[in-house]
Amino acid sequence: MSYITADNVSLDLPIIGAARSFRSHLLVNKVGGLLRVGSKAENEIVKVQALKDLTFRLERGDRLGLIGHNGAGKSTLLRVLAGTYRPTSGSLKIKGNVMPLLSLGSGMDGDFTGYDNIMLYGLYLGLSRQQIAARTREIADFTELGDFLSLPIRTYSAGMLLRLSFAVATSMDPEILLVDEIFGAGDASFYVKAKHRMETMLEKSSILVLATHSVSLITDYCNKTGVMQKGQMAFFGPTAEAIEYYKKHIL
Amino acid sequence: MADETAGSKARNEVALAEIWNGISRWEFWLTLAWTDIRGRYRRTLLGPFWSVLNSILFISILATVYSLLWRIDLGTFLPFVAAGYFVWIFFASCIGECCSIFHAYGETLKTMPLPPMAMLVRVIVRNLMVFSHNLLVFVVIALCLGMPLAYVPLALPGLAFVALTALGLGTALAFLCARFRDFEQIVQSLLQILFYISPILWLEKLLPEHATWLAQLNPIYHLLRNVRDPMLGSIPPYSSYFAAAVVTAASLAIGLWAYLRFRDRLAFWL
Repeated sequence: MSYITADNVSLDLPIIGAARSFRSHLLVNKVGGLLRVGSKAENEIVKVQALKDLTFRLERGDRLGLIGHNGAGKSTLLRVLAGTYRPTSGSLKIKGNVMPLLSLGSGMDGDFTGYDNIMLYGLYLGLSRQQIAARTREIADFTELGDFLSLPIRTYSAGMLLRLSFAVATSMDPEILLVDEIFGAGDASFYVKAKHRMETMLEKSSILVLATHSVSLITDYCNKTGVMQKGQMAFFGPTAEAIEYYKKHIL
Repeated sequence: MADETAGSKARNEVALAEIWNGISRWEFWLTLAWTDIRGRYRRTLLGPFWSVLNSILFISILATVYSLLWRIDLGTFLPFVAAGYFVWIFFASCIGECCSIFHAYGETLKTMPLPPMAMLVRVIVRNLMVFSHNLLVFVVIALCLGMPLAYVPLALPGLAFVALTALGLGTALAFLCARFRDFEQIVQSLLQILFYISPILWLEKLLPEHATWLAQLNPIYHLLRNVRDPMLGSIPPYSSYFAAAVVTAASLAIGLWAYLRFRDRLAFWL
């Protein structure tokens, strides 16, 4: 049974190489997380408080939408859930294998073909060659890319890359799927397919976390929504109420 | 305080498990290393033969000039330079590429659940592939010169020492270079100096008596010998094996320390 429990999770991101003038400039910024200026003892490294005291719990079948300004902490939260950023404080418990789909083209090589990249991307995600080989046919079918799969992927559009990454990432029935804004690159027919696949996935004890700016995508996919603002969860609850809050306070 | 110790202990355990995970993902690093090699010569006419051509050109010209300079027979000096140069290139490429690997895959390391350790192993493995390719070139040279090849398999333990030293040192330098970018430049110039002060283009017996320490105290010399001597048909002395083992153990210890200490901060530096 998969779940995610976040208890007062905070993350301070040190910004290395930020000059003094840049620092004072940042302080008056409207968007972005809360900025913290390190004291002299901290070697004058600028720190952005990217996430502040996040507490929430997701259980099987939960589909969480994250919405908020640019720099509100949506992608950072996804990276924390993916395990690539370790929280500075608080506790985070995740059960279930996590499959992140956070940036297009990561784990792929533009000069190799779509088929080659199914293998490369799968290996990056921690699958074995055998697992990937057994599902290559199915993955290829899902992408509907046909002969394009034999071309180098540097010729692909963002939407085509999304089809490829999504097909590989969801081919193993992940228990927790994390999707960042890249989802916007897909076309209408992809959304229908993706939604269908995620619904089957979610029936098997899965959790989805989706960051987006699209209210319609959130209402379509998510039963819970977190409205993020300056690294904090301004609102967390059922999607309908969250969207109402978002429209009233953030937009 | 007790809490803090417990916390860092738990962190170390996580990092150790991750190191093991990175090492055990052999399908990942083997495939990616091979892909890197294929990718390097993509869309070139000669493919990997470029690397052979480059080294043959370098070795034959330098060996010729230096054999005149040192008044040594080219037939013995050419294989000496070839063997030494191939081992050096292996070591130096591993170190140099470790320094840039985290930056090169910064976005990937921030968005994919991949242990950074697997990336470091990938660097060592792809250079081992290049080395085995170069070894074939050496064997061809040796056959042309009618040299005995019986001892060549004895180069393997020596090569293992070089590879593990490169992995340990490369890990430490990878973290250092991820945080302080200047070190990539510093390492490059140090490697260049190291190449000239190590007996690769010159024989250690050319050193005057009072200066033999120049070779004896150079860890590269011992690492190099354990691979080069068997390739050239002799067995390295125990002292060289001992020195190489010490250097390897120290490198691995430094690499492990750096990994445990800085692993959690790596993503913030990229």
